Amino acid sequence: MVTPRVLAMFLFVDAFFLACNDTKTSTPGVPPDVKAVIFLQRVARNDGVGNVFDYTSFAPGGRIVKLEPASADGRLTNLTADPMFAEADFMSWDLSFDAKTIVFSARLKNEKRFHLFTMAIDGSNPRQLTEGPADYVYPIFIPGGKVMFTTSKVVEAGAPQFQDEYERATTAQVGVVNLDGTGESLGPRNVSHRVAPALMPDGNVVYTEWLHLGDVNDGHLRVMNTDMTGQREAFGGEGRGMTNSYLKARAISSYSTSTGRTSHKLVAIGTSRDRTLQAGKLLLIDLGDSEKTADVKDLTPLVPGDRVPSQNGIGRYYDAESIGDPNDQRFLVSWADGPVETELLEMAKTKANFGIYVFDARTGRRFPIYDDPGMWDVLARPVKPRTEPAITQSPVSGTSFVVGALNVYESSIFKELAPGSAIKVRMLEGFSSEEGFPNMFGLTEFDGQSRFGEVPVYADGSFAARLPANVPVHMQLIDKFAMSIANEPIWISGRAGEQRFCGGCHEDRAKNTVISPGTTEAVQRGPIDLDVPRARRVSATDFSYANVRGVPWDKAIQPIFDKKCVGCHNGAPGPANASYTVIDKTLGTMQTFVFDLRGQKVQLVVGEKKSYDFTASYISLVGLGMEIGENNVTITGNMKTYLTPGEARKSEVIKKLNPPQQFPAANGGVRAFPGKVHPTDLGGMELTAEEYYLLILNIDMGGQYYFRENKGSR
Amino acid sequence: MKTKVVLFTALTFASSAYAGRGSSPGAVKSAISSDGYDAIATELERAEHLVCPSCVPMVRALVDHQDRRVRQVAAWWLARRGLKQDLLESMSERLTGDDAVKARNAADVLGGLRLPDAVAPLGAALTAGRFNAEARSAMARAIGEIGDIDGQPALVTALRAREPSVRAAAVESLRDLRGFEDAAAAASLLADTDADVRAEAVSTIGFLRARAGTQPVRAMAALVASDPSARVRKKAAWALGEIGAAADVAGPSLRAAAQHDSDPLVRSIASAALARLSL
Repeated sequence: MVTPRVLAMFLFVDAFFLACNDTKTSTPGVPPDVKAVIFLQRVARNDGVGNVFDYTSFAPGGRIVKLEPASADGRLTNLTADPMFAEADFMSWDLSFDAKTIVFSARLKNEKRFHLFTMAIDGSNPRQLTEGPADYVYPIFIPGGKVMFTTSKVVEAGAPQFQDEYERATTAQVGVVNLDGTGESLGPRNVSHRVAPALMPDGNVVYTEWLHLGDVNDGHLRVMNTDMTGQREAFGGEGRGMTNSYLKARAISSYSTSTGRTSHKLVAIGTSRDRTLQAGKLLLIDLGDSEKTADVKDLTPLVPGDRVPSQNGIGRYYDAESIGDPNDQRFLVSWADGPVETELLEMAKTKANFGIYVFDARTGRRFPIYDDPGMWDVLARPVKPRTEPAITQSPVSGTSFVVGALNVYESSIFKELAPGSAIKVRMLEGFSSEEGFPNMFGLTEFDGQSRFGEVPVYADGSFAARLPANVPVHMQLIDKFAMSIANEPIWISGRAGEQRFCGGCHEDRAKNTVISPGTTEAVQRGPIDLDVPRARRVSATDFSYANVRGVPWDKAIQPIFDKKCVGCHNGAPGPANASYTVIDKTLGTMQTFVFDLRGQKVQLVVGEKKSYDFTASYISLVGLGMEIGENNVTITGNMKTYLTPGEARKSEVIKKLNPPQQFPAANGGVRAFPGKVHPTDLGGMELTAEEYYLLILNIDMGGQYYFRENKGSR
Repeated sequence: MKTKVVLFTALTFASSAYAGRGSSPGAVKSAISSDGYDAIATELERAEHLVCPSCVPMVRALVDHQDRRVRQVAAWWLARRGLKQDLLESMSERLTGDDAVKARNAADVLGGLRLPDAVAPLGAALTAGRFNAEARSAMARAIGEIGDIDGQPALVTALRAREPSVRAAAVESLRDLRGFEDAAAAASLLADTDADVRAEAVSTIGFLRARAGTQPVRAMAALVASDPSARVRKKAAWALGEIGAAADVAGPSLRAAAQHDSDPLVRSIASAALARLSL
């Protein structure tokens, strides 16, 4: 029996072959206003584009071509026939609003970097906009005679560019340059990649950002103003997500939501982070009123959303551009048949073959336009003028940016936040291994961090802080015990002069935040200044509340244990020092761990790390976590993790110590948890307020071992 | 029936990923057998936390893979297994031998490890001149990848190497050192006989932006005016704008290049530099 779905499949295949046979005489599916298309031809490849954030893949022999009319028997013109582009590779491109100029990213012969170029629509008058030892990719025209791009160049002179989450690739960040190559301006930095910006009809820009904080590892869509201010979430975090990463989003149409806001529908590629040549499903994304209410529709449900090889006849899509009437849901797409997955392609000694098609989402039909075997025919755009939207911007000046909230208790994700419970907002700087951390930061998944400081939450729930511009910051609301009670799950950053006041802490963007009497206490008092130069963003010699930045385990935490804890917790088996034994069946090894807060380094023989990087105290509290990994082990005895990275309040060690109230004033009579206070319950010396704070801060910052203050110690 | 299987697969795997998770010994073995960089690199990244003794010998063999990128991702993964010290010692040992290919591979591995302790053996091998240009270029590059400023003396010594590729790699790597600000070191190569070396020297000076100072301006202006290589002229024009060169020294060369250089790309970069310097 043939099921309707299988029948539909047959019909689809039939339509495909009919279309194949039909292309020399007509261009079915191509709207009449698409007279010509321009697209890139890149030499087919299997590497350097497997990770959705890779942007430096180079294979010489590409070109930019125009096909007119947009059909297989159209005339193909090489727009980069000038010898200066011989053996070049073309990464991405865009067409100006008047359809007279092309901007593109290319790596020329004998060069090591991709740079930005412009030329007239006929290939004449080539100009180079950027130079230097950094890559410039993903150019798009934005209003005001400018081009936006992403680049490995660093906005902070003298600072190394961030490495990505695996500490192996240099991240790309956003920038803007005038069409004559002047006025280069680099945007605020994320701790990981930003790629594939696209202009929306309202002048804002949608782009993909690698979100990595803790163990999350996704590529979400975000939106920013034309001038790189106002960067904010758009799709992939809250609400409905479908795949790990969303890439190469392009605007389809705009509409007014039920709340009267202008929103947009996009088409994007939904795929795994790796192995899929940055190709995957076609997704129709409705940004709605907010990330929480955004919606998605899978236009190609048979295409795998992860990295499994795609089937014959199904393939994967590389990119899509809406054409014709948006309601018709027709797209110029690049599509490759068969198993678009790098391992299988390598094993088969073949490469994915992307060609240009028109895809009709309403029928599922795909009409071939052009396919050059051996080349990737990608990023096709119709040659036609479009409306230049207005510039969206925010005042930019000085060296600082101001961040704040009108009312922190307005939150869509911290719903249990009780009014009055947040005393301060902790501001944390983020960075990666590029500052010289060969040993990772510790045994947890968190990035490198440093404390800017803490600012008060006023009675009306508002706060405001002045921070260094262009630097990633992560915020935590802290209670009267100095512990985080709400951990904003993203990094944010702002340009100099930018003022970012949210309604709340990740508030519902679909709702308006009402404040009375029309202003906030934080605004009236002005932002607390936490902006200091990079050189001063490291603890000097003391780790006092006023001065602490990083909390290096060996320098700031271990001395506390040495003074207050090791008298009992000294590794001698007994009631004070629980023990457990790990039998590593994979390795055939065994190791017994006894709770020990002393500072000697421990050699591990289970979990394969065999590392001397961490002390007995660190391993005792953090646990083996990553060390054991996914190994097959048997554990006997009392194995316990006493530290929950990023959450001091949930950490057993903090519950045991039971810290006293610290804010707004110290009060030893008020404790964070019911029950005893350790170690005074056993006659020991209680930690000082400063010692409590350091331990809490270390855990809230991710429970890492290495910070700027001890990165050189091995 | 096939359609149902595909649907099931798509729905099952369409979920968020977590860093360094989701691999298996079989997946690592399969990726390595494909011999493709992308498959190997992405699988080892997913295997960041995978305990897999049987994988170690397979990955260890990749330190001598023909693709430098594979050598480096292998080093990264092995270091995550607690083999940093072992790799440091074994690769440093190679630098004292006489096999240039193994020494080149060792340099790539040490660069991938980013261990400051590797700077000394790399620097010693680089400056001793015992290995061929390819191996010593890899050593210079590795010192830059490690990024420790202690690598500067060895790189500066390598600026006087006989082979242009070594000089170019050394001056390129200088800009990767954290805290490097010595424009004079790079400026010493602005008159090099090799265009690639001059291009890298100019790029390193431009990379320093305002920290480059004024000393190299005159030499770079001369390059804009008369270097036979359009690449060098273009990069020199860019660097003058980047470092904020003085108008009286840089202006005439940039103006002439913007108007009359035979290469349109040089003209455009020179024009932008002029505008940037408000000339």
